[in-house]
Amino acid sequence: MRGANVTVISENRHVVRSVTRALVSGGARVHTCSFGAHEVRREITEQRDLILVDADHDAFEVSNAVNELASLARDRKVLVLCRELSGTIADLILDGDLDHVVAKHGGVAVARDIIDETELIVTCEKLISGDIFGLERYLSLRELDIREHVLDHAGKRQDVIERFDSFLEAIDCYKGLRAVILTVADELLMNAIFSAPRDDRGQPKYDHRERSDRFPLEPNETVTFRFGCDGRNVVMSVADRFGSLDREMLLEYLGAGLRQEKGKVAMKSSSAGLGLHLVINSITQLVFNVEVGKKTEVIASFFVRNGIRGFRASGQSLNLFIES
Amino acid sequence: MKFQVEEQGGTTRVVVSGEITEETDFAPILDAKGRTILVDLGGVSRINSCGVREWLNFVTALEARGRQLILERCAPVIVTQLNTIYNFAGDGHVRSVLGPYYCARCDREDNQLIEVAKTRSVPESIKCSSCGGQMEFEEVHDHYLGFRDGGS
Repeated sequence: MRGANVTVISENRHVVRSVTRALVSGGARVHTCSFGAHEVRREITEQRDLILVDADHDAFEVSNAVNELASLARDRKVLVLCRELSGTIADLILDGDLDHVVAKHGGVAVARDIIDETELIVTCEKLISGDIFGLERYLSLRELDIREHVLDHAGKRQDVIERFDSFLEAIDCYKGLRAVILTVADELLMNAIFSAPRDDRGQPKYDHRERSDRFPLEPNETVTFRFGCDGRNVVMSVADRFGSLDREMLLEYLGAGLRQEKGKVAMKSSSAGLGLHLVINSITQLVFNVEVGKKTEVIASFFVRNGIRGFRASGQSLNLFIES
Repeated sequence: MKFQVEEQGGTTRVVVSGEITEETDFAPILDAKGRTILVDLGGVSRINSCGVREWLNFVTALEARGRQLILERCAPVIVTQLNTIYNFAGDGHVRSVLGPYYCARCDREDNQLIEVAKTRSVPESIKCSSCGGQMEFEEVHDHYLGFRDGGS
């Protein structure tokens, strides 16, 4: 991020201060801009690597600014900062081109929203550099013990979930949160084992199989499950070597959750949709890193400092890094 | 998942505990004698998307057999599904749920029974039975009983 030019569109001095502190520390130059149509259009003519939009402002002006950036400066990367992953933000993701949302973590401080500096710097760095893969950067401390399990058999899913549960117990994670975190791990692993693999014709290979089926995976079908904790967040990643998710498919699966509608369940076992519907309601941050046709890495993080209450109040971030 | 089945007159009471997943088979409960099936879900620790499908198939099959379903002591993970999944309880009736509480003084997590029909809103805090301090409600207060407003 060193030397990058980043603009923050915000009317909130506290947000500008938080972003400036984080990104200047990361080596960027930070410019500010208000929501006026004239100001936003002028900003588009400037040489910028990334534009941040503070969405806790008039919904109409926020939509206008994001849509203007999308239509007049398609090459410009846009990241939205917001309190809730719903309403206007859901519309901008599902009906527009918005791919990156970083939450303001209201649960961390009562008086003012806090933007997690690690999360902000990591997301901006990924957007600017295009280097998207890796779990480590989402943990705020170095030298942490990151556990890794490679699944070469569909039947090993339960084993690694039990190991993950032992880890959560060892770090004395709140009981209510453990169930939430384990369910997300279970869903992401099922998707990677059953929904991701493609046959020689590019068709789903195991999607028709019952999720209770136990069978060996080919060497190119192994799934890598990693997890760690920096005291603040538990972070996990599930990676496969297919890259079979695309933006359209993801938004179809995540749509009901983002619009805060109840999920309608397809009665076939071969759908990743219900799983991702459960996942989007159960995370602090969800990141899809996809190199289409080659690799998918899904990273989920959970704010674990203050039990279920702190977790629910911590906001939700969503990032779709999809490279064709 | 484990379950215990008790026949009580025209009612069959089923106590479910553990994880509801793709391995779960509700078929033995379908053979129960009672016209009313009362399912105690207080011991459910986790439910995944396959478990949700198994559950919905079970609810649908019960309805097809003309049984009445009553859910009681729904664990927080079940309340999440009631609030997230369309028609999770089918035509059944949710009698009670367990609400998660936390005592900061003695670092204790506990679930408190909430009778759905008798409760207008979930208590924000209760007395800790261990230290006498205040236990705070852990979930999003306004949304926890949201399933009562329809769709479930």
